[in-house]
Amino acid sequence: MIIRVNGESKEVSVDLSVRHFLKEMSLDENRIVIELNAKVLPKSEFSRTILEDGDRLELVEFVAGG
Amino acid sequence: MKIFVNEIVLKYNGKKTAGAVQNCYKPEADVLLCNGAPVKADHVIKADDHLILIKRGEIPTKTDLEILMRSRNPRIFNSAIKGRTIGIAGVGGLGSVVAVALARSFVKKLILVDFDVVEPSNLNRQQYFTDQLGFPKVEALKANLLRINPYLEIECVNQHITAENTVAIFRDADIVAECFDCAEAKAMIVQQVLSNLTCKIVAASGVAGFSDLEALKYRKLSSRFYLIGDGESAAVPGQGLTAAKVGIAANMQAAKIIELLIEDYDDNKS
Repeated sequence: MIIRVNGESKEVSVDLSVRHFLKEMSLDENRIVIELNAKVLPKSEFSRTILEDGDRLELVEFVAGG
Repeated sequence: MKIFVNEIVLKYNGKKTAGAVQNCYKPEADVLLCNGAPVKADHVIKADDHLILIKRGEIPTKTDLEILMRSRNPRIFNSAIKGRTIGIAGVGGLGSVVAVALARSFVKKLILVDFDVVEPSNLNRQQYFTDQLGFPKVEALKANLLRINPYLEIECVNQHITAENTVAIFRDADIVAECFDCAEAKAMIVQQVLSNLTCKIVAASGVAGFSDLEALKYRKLSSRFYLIGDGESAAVPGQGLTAAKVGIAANMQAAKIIELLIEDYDDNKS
């Protein structure tokens, strides 16, 4: 199935949780802010949220410095 | 004739010298400026001149300071900022600079949050002074901001921000500036603000190093979440944080905050 990640199409497997998706992308879930279909997804929901065809993800992985 | 004295328009029919205007409106003044340049008492004035009369060391009243300090800002800028409260999460290289820009812009109130103290390595980029080493950052910054604008309301929160206390700390903020150093803390507060408050958040990520300034840009992630930085330049050993680059990113945050306040002001008016 196809989802959109930061505006770009991406093919992902079915029954994939957000948490596993982040792992596949080598992203650190502690440094990530995700908006799923324009709504922020709390970190506590990462493992139980299953991606669906057509989902739109905006994600930011923060880096240190300030 | 019409003249401006300390940015207030007046009808003036006295003797046409700066000294005569001084005697009439502020005899105790010891510095006279006409149209931006220092002048002597015998300087001849003409219609529409702007005279500024200063008594050295005197702190103007709130009303006077507001008029004088905001006189170079666009009118919409002043209208939109008046009465607003901004939360600043972390007052290091980003937050202390954002705070200075907003204090100079005459916001009503700043909520400063940080658990840290001023240490020598901070002085390369943060808005502190050598005689403030060892003091809590929020208290030191409050002292510095009050020298810029003694009428600014400042709430100091000298503690760690956590997922549990974010909402209580920033409940009254119109906008929050995310100015932390640590990536995990950045993600945490953005998530908390977006999930549990209704205000906007302007965050920063990727501000380390000293070059590639053109890579610093804005991203609008959603209607309430804005990000400044290149997204990649992390502070790691060998790539530190420097005054000019972090300062630019911080001022981009402050500029975005002001832009959002103006948008909000326009929306509420129409």
